[in-house]
Amino acid sequence: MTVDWSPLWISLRVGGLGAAGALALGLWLAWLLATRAFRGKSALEAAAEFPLVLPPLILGTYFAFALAGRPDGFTWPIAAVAAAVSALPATATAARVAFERADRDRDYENAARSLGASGWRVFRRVTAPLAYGPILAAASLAFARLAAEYAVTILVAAQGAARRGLLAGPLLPAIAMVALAALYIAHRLERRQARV
Amino acid sequence: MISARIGKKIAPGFSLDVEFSASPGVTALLGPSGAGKTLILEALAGFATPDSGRILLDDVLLFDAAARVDVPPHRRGCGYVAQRDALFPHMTLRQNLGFAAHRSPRVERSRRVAEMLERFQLAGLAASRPRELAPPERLRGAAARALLASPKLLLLDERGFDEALLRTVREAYSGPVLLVTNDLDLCCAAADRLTLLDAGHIVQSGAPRGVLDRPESVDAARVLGIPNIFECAIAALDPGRNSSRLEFSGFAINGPYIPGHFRGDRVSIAVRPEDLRVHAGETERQPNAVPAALVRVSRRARTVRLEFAGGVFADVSHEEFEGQKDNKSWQVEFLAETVRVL
Repeated sequence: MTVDWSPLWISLRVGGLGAAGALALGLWLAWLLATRAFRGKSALEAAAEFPLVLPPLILGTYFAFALAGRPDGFTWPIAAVAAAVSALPATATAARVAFERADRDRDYENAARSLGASGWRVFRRVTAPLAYGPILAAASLAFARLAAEYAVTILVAAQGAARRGLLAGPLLPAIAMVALAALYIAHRLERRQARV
Repeated sequence: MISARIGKKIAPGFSLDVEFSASPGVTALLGPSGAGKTLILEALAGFATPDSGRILLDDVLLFDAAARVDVPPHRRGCGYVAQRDALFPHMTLRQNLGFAAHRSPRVERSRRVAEMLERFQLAGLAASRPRELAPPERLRGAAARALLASPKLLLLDERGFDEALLRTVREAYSGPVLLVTNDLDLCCAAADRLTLLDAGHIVQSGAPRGVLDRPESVDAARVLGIPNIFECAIAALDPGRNSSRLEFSGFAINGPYIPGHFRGDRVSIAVRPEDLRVHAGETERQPNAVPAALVRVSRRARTVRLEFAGGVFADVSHEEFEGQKDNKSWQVEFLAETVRVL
C-alpha cells in the first residue's frame, strides 16, 4: 500500500512558515511592547494575546473566509497565515521577556560599550546571542504545536476508510515524531540558555 | 588625567554634586552605601547622564551639560569593571578578552590576549566559560578584558579587588584608576589618593594616611567608621602647653591646643576606639579619664569592643579584656594626642 505523504509536507510547510511568520511578527511586537511607551499599548497587548483564546480551526476558518471569500476555501498558504497568527502570542511573549530582561539588566551591554563596541556590534555580539535562546525555543514550540494541529485537523476531516487508513498508517506517527523533535530542540535551546 | 564636575538629582532630598580630578595612579572612593560612588563611575563612563557639569579626560571633552556635549560610552575610552561581574556568559574567557581587543589585527590580538591571560594567571582557563570560573578568576578576567581595550581611564566598581590584583593592574596600566571600595586597609596599601563620599558629596580628599589620621569633619569621621564623635565646649586653651580643656556630657578631658578658637566655642572631636584606654573604676582615677558604665561587650576577630553609656566605644585586645572583665566599674582614659578636633 502506498502512503500519501503529502499531509506531512503540508504540515511541515504550515508549521514552518507559521512559526517563521510568528517569529518575525512576534519579535517586532515584543520589541515595541518592551521598549516603547505609547497610547493604546494595553489594547495592542490584548490583541496580541487574543489568538490564545481562539482554536486554530476557528482562526483558520475566519482567514479562509477573509482571504478566499468562503469558509471552506482552505489552502495551505491560508492555513500558514492562520498558523502564524495562532502562534504569535507564544513568540511575542518569549521575545518580550528576553528584551525586557536585556533592557533592565544592562551590565553586559554597558561592559561591551565600555570596551569600545558600537551599538550594532553590542546587539550582534552580546544582546542577540543572550536573547535568542528563549525566542527560538518559543518558535520551535510553536512549530511543534502547529504541525500537530494540522494532523488533528486532517484526521477530524477524514471520513470512514480514509480515517482508518490515517490511523493505521505511518503518516500520523511521522508528524508526531516531527513535533517531538521540535519540542526536543525547544528544550535544548532553553537548557542551553539556562547554562549561560 | 581626569577632571570632572558632576551634578545629578537622584531623588527628592538626594543629589550628587561632586568636583574632583585624578591623575595617574589609584584614587579610592570610599563611602557608605548610597553615597553616590557607583553613580560617579557611571557618569564618567557615559552610562548615566548628569544634569549639570563637565567631564574632561586628557583634555578631551567627554561631557558638558551647558554645551550639550555627551560623547557615547564606546568612544570615551573608559574601561569599566562593573560591581556585578559582567564577563559575557556565552563566550569563553579567551573570546571575552578578544572582544575587547577587536580593533587589533588578528595576530596582534592573539598575542595581546595571550599576554594578558598570562599576566593575570588565567592562561590555563582560557577555554573556560565564565560560569566555570571561581569569582576571583572572573574578576581577574574582567580586569584583564578592561585593560585590553587600552583605556585612558580605568573605573573599578567592584569590591572584590585585593592588593595583589591591584598590583597586577598597576603593572599593566599606568593611567588613572578610580576604585570603589569599602576596605580601608586596601586604601592605605594600594591607593595613592583617598576620596571620602557621603550623601552625594565629597567630604575629604587626600593621601590615604593623611585622611585616615586627620579627618577634617564629622562626616569624614563617620565615613571612616569612627564611632566616638562628641560635641564639646572649649573650657580652656593653653597655647604654651599646646593643650586645651574640653567639656562634654558633664565630663572634662584634656585635648590638643585648638588654633583659631576661643574659650566657650563648641567643637566636635573624634577618637578612634583603639586609641582609648580602659581601667577598673576602683583604681586610682587616671589623669585624663572619665567614669563610664559598661553597656555592651562585643567580641570581634582581633579585639573586644566595649560600649559604654554615652556612646563611648573602646577596642581592647582579648588578653586585656580577660584581665579586666570582672571590673565592677570602669573608667575610660582619653590620650590627649589621639583626640582629633574636627
